[in-house]
Amino acid sequence: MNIDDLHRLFPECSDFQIVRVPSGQKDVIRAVRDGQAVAIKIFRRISGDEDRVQRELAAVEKLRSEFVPRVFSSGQVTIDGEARYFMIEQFIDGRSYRAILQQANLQPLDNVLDIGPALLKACTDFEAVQLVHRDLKPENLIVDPAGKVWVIDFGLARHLDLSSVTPTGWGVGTLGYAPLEQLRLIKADITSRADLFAVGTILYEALHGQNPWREGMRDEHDLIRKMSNQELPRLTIAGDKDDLFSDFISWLVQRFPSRRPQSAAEALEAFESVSNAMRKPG
Amino acid sequence: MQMFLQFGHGMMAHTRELLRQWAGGGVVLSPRDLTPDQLQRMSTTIAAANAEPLVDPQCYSTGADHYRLVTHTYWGTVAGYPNEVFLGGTRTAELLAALAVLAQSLGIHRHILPAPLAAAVNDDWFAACEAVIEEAPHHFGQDPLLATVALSSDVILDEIQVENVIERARKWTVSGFYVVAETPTAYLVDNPVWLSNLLVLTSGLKLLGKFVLVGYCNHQMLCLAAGNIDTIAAGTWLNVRAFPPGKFFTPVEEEISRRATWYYCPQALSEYKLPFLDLALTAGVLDQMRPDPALGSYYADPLFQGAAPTSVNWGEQDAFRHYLTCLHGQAGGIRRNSFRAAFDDNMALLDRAQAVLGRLRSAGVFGQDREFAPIIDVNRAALTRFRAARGQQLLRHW
Repeated sequence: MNIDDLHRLFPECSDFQIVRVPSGQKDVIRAVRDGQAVAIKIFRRISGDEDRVQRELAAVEKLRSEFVPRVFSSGQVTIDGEARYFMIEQFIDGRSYRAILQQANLQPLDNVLDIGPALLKACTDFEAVQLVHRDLKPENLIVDPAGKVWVIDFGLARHLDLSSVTPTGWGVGTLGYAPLEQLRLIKADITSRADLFAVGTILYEALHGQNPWREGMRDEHDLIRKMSNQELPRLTIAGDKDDLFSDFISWLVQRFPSRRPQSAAEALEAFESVSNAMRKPG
Repeated sequence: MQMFLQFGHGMMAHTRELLRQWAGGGVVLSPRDLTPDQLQRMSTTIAAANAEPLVDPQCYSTGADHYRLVTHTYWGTVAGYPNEVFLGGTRTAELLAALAVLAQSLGIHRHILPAPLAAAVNDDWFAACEAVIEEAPHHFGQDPLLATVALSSDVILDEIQVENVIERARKWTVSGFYVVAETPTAYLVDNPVWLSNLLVLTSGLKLLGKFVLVGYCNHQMLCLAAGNIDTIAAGTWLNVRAFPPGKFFTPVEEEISRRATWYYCPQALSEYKLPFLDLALTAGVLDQMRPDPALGSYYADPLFQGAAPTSVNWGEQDAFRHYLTCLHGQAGGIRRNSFRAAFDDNMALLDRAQAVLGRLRSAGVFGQDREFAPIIDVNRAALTRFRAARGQQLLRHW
């Protein structure tokens, strides 16, 4: 695929710049559309039911969240005789949260108290249109130059980005961030509570310095066994009054969905209450 | 937390007396322990005492053959079609129709639905429960329905199966649940995992916004109040204070062969044979075993008049009524205004029991196999684990 191909396939866009993507599962091209920077994502392969993928594309296009890049259009194009899905979305400039964690793996409490509500508000937006992200992880969070957190690779990732597909035999999601019900493909149980588990794990990791589920595990079987049999130890966080925040995180990362907040809205409300209590002087 | 009576062998007179004392409440009637005529009379007696009669259909095993259980009309369908009665369709409808007729004749307006005991929580068990739930409204109209959740001890010991029940029960169109949990032991449970999982189960069902009644309870189950459940049910003999599925097969009245009179000391959460009360009198500690008058039991008063308790005419009738009245009072005494209050009250109950037991033991007063000392840490551990699992939810949803 070259620039001429891009002009032909996406005549409404210009100023194409191919961005390297480490996963190699999709091409990401920065471009300009109607005077606005956009990201064109062209996926290499798809897995799963095409009809379902198209339904999800339609649903994601309807999602309105200040924390998720707006999707302008989606569909299929033919490149070198191969049909490939594409998505044109708002381009977000910034660093991935993974890059931030790699630079300083223990994040200050105040920073984590800032990222928490953004993630939970994003989850309430997904919940409002009955969507579940299913692949929340530091790699899928972008922090823009203004410090705002964006959630990227929503929804489609599980069908279109095979780097998010776990080893054969398990469900969709990333080991270490996806809860058991998602890894075991217990579909009826995969609700916003699955995303809340991932949010809790990200917050835990930011305060702990490493992914708590992957820590010390030899392989994926070890990890699954750990998730099945153990709870994460409650964090000890300097400045955490009465362990309010560590209790909140423990609530999010409960192994079983019935033990977590039952909705993103509930989790957000609880977080705000905890955050207010922690920020009170004295 | 309320306490209903769990009807068992020889409980007719106890039921009349206790409901009169308590001015209301409820009774879970047992077809295994009552003939059809007796069921009718008890139901009338209960309603007259301003209490609620419920009937446990006891369909835990379709192969059950207890001689009194099989005399009930509805059991004809169970016995005749043991492999079909929970498949949905004609036989399920027949069973429910018969239960509806029974309920109407007894004046019952809230219905415990039949369900098999789950040896494993799997698609077959869910299908059986849901076949009944789906058919029930055709027979019971708008009356409230309680889905029976009867689980073997192996299931209760498995968190994953327990959670599967909760998740599935979200979709059940019933107004509440009647939980029956097989114990891994004959009476008090010494496995904190079992108790912790029971707490998780019952509180999880309660968090669905429904009524939760736990049957076959004893004083160890006072801790269920920390899960905000509505009611426990307890009875006289041990086979109505813990759930033994085998009793629906046993034709012999085994209670007769194991009679002994036990005095329940509520502050110690323990039961004592009368000779140990004699010893307590001699040691000068009998007064520490007197129940708090606030619990409402005067049935044990003769034991504290100064004479040796074994010389007093105090038998199983008084012992049973005393136990159930104290338990009724203890259940009602656990604060229900918040999770913290209920949790703290439960822990305080255990702390107090430990202190009382320490003093009694140092005086040589032991409860033998009904002493709560080895169980205190079981309950503490279960409650502590439970708080980690459900505490955040219950702090917010109580």
